[in-house]
Amino acid sequence: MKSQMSWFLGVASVLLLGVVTVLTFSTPSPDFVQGEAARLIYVHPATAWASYAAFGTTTFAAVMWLWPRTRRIGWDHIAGASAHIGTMFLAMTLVLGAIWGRPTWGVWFRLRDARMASTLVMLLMYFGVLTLRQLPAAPDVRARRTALAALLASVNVPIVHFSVQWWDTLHQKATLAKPEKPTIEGLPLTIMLLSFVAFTVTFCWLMVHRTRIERWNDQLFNGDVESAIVARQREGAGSLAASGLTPGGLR
Amino acid sequence: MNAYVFSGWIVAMAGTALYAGWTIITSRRIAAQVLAVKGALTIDSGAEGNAVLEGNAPLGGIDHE
Repeated sequence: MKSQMSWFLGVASVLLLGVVTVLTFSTPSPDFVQGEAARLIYVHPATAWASYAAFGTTTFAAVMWLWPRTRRIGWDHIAGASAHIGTMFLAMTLVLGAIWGRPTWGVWFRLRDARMASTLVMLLMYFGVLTLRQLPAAPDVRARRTALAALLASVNVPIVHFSVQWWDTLHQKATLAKPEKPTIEGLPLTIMLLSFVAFTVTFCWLMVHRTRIERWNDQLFNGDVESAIVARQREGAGSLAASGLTPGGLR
Repeated sequence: MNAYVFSGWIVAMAGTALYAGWTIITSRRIAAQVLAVKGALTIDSGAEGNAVLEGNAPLGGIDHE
């Protein structure tokens, strides 16, 4: 089941990102003033959104682990996986923002800008979460450290998002997520929303694989290989049932 | 095409592709390690064995000894 989901999400990610790429370069630039550089609006906010989605998942998993009734090591695996993916997307967002900022504002990065500074702080905090996970510790200790650090880092997410509303600095105001009507419409809005969907599906695909890595790492380094074999057998049985084949027929 | 847009697109698409590729390779490597550590399993060579490492194949490719 999980393997089929991974395959479906993988194919969907590649197709959706391909469609967004084709639409981006086959349609006119969405902004007359910024010209060609405005095409980056189809990818920069979408990667930022993917990092928000990842860090939201991290926070949820951290709370679920900290709550005694729902405490399962699987929540720690989800928290670790989503923090890893979110950090990658956030780093990508910063690089894309710099590439967009240079032709638009004349600077790659400005530390005195509220959005850029808060995003950099958030990136460093999630690097901290990932570093904490690498320290040698029992799974429970590692999970507690991760959960607490992730909760602390999650405070940054609303600060980053609302920074352009709270402080009037260089970064432009929100295009979509604001109380008034969005400042983008028609085909550009459609492409932008499609890009959001594409990166969300990609995030889900990466989550399937990253969570497996976290789980298998635990099984490998905590002597729980037997349960790894059982998990693999279950996956195999699921694939067999789906394909209608019998184990004997494939040996 | 604008060089900034091109660079940005390369960063986004190639970055995502590289990260996804690295993730999948790591996933396969650890799956292989889990099987190797057990030591009581053999993996068939060829396509069937490779598919097992992906976690996508039925366990017909694995013999319990």
